[in-house]
Amino acid sequence: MDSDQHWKKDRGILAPYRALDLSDERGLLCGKILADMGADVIKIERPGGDPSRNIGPFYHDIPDPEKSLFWFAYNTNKRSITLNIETDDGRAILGKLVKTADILIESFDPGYLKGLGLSYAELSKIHPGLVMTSITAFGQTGPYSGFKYSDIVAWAMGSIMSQCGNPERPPVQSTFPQAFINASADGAEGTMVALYHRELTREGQHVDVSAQESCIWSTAENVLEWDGAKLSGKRPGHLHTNPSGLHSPVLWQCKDGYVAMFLLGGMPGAKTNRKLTEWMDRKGMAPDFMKNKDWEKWDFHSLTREELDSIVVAIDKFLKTLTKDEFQREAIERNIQGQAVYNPEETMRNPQLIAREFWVKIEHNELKDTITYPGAFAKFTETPLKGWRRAPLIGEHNEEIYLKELGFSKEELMTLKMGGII
Amino acid sequence: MAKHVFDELKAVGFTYAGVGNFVLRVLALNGATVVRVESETRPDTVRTMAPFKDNIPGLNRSYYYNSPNTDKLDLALDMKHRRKDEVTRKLVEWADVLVENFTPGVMAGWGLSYEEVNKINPGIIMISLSMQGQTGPARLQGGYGPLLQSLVGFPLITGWPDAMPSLIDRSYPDYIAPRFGAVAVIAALLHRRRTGQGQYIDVSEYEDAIQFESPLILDWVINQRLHQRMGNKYPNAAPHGVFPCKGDDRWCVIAVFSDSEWEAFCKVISTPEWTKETKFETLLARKKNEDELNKLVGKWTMNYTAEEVMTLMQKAGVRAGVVQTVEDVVEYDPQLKHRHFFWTLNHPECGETLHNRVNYLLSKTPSELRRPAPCLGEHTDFVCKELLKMPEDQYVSLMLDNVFK
Repeated sequence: MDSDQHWKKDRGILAPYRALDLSDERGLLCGKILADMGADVIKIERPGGDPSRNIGPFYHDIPDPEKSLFWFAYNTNKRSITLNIETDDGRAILGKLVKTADILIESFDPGYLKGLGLSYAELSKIHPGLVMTSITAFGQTGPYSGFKYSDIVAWAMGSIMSQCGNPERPPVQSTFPQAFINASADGAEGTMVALYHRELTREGQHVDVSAQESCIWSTAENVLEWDGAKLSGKRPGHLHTNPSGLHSPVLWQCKDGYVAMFLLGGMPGAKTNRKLTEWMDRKGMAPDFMKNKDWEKWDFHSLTREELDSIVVAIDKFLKTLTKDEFQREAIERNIQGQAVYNPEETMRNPQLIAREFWVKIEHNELKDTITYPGAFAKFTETPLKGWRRAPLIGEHNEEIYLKELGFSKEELMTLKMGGII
Repeated sequence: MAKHVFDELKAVGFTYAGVGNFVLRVLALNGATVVRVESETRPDTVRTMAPFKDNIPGLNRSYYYNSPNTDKLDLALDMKHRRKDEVTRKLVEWADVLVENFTPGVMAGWGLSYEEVNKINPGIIMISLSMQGQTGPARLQGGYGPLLQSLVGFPLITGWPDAMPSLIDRSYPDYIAPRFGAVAVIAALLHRRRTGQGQYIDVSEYEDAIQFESPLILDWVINQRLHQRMGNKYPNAAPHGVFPCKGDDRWCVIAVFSDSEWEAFCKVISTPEWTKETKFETLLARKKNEDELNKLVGKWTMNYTAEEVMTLMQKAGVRAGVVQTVEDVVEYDPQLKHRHFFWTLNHPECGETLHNRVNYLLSKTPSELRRPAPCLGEHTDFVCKELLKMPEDQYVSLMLDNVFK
């Protein structure tokens, strides 16, 4: 089948829309979300390939721009062309593409596109209906908009970092940085809001995403606790702070790793506390004071350290006799609010995700491999996410876009290639 | 009056706690008319959660409720009442979008499964958000954000290799799924504009949180590698981390990637002798001796406030940022003030309340916070009469029957 037709056939809920994705690791998820819903997302890479192709891990640990698993993960269902927008021809070509597009996503430092004559003000003159989404650490305006940054800077300035890590150690980011993943998802949300507006009015607009703001929203409980009680709690580590100010674990050691569960007083905790006690009792591990407790009336506000400790010790001892999977299975069966702490291996064999057919297999012909990926972010009854395609190779769709769609000749394509423009 | 994207959109929420209300919030802050259905006999659980205004409990005094529920209307309805269908039916007829996040099965128990809802209003877009989805063996398992983020495995990659895993704050996944949920609803609205067709959307908080760590899944699939906690180390940067500053629990991030950034960094700290040693000369060397490097950097940062470190570094073009606390961002951050990120509203029982806007600025149709969170049942009368156009006699009869409580 002609690859053009392949693209247009049955693409899904956003099939009528085209997005140009000029972003890097700070914004790739935004375009992926649109592409997974069937939008024609064209990743515009600099000649030689997007710098985010250098981000590991790599396929079989071979560092190669065509083997970045980071790239694979966040570019499914996109097409790719190469284009050097720092050249006059490159800018002219981008202008032509903008006329065909509904959305443009970018994550350059603020001011970079303006320096090239490609700011929103200028692009919207070419195409007033364009929705342009910019994803940066601090947004396009304001005293910090010129700051230098990477993911960890936005994570810190967005205050969520102050809530991550063991309280007696420095705050931490995650091994897989999260700030711009949050911002990219917000980029998708903002893009969709603006796209809806465009459908009503034909008017495009600029969506200005700040990763700092995205991070603050992801820790919004702290904002309201500050507003309501001037509380500024220290990072929880693996603990939960209950209303009496005492700490008890959320994460507990079990036989082969960790499980998560926390103690709550009164009605909110009663069912789990009672069922856990029954389970412990079946194994002869429930102390009498737990068996005799009226959990509905267990008052967390007047709780003493001694009482809490004695319960924590008994539960801790019990959980250490269980594996993660045993805990998970029984927690579901007994309707206990608790979860195993699963790594990717265990996540992939979790019966819940298998039952829901969450995982999708995507073919990588040139690797002679089929790779299992996380699948749809939502199940739609009428317009399911389907037809999964692997991330594009560098400039994989140059010919179909430059020759077939934009009408360049093969000679011109050669000139553009040798001129370092594509 | 400023125009908002969803000025013409109508949404009804059978929601409680976080995720469902966070999807409604996106619609509400962009102009939609949003009606939440609550009951005095079964109020939103967060209405009973501290902190309360002046520490006095009360259904309208919880900051957990009031903070994310601005710009919504509230209808009190006894969902156990035999006549409740008279109201829910009209709500479903009225709405473009129905959002719910109860345990799977609860809506069906009220006669509000998608099948039933679709019969009343075939064009409606209904979205269910739940912990683990509407199907599968764990669909009924309840829980909280900290438990779900554990299931996803975030704590295994957050913290220090020689210490217990750490949570990412508390309810992290509760903020992930609503972003996908809002995207899905708007996509379905666009589809409906084209085809007239409504649909049902099933969002699993679990599956959405996994999207935030997809490369780690692929690394397992391909390389059988499981990622570990590694503090603040990053493969191609050193120093890269959090450094102690003057004051109690004050920290500043510094991230040095390229050689030129390293040179700029050395100048900021007045190029002490140790920076000239060969063990710190190249990126590979700095990575190899990273622990020692971090200690030396920390000895320098300790003499300054976190703000001073950030300013000195940024002036020299070095990536740096204060590990801001909630107090820093709410009270002092000039960037957030410039961008009007926090808004205040005047709540009838709590007085001035603080809120975040959405996390993006729209150049033509800025989102706005206009009305404080509703008191329980505050708009029952308005919703029934003005929005649902319920005849006066029916309204009075339902009221006398005690349906609205």
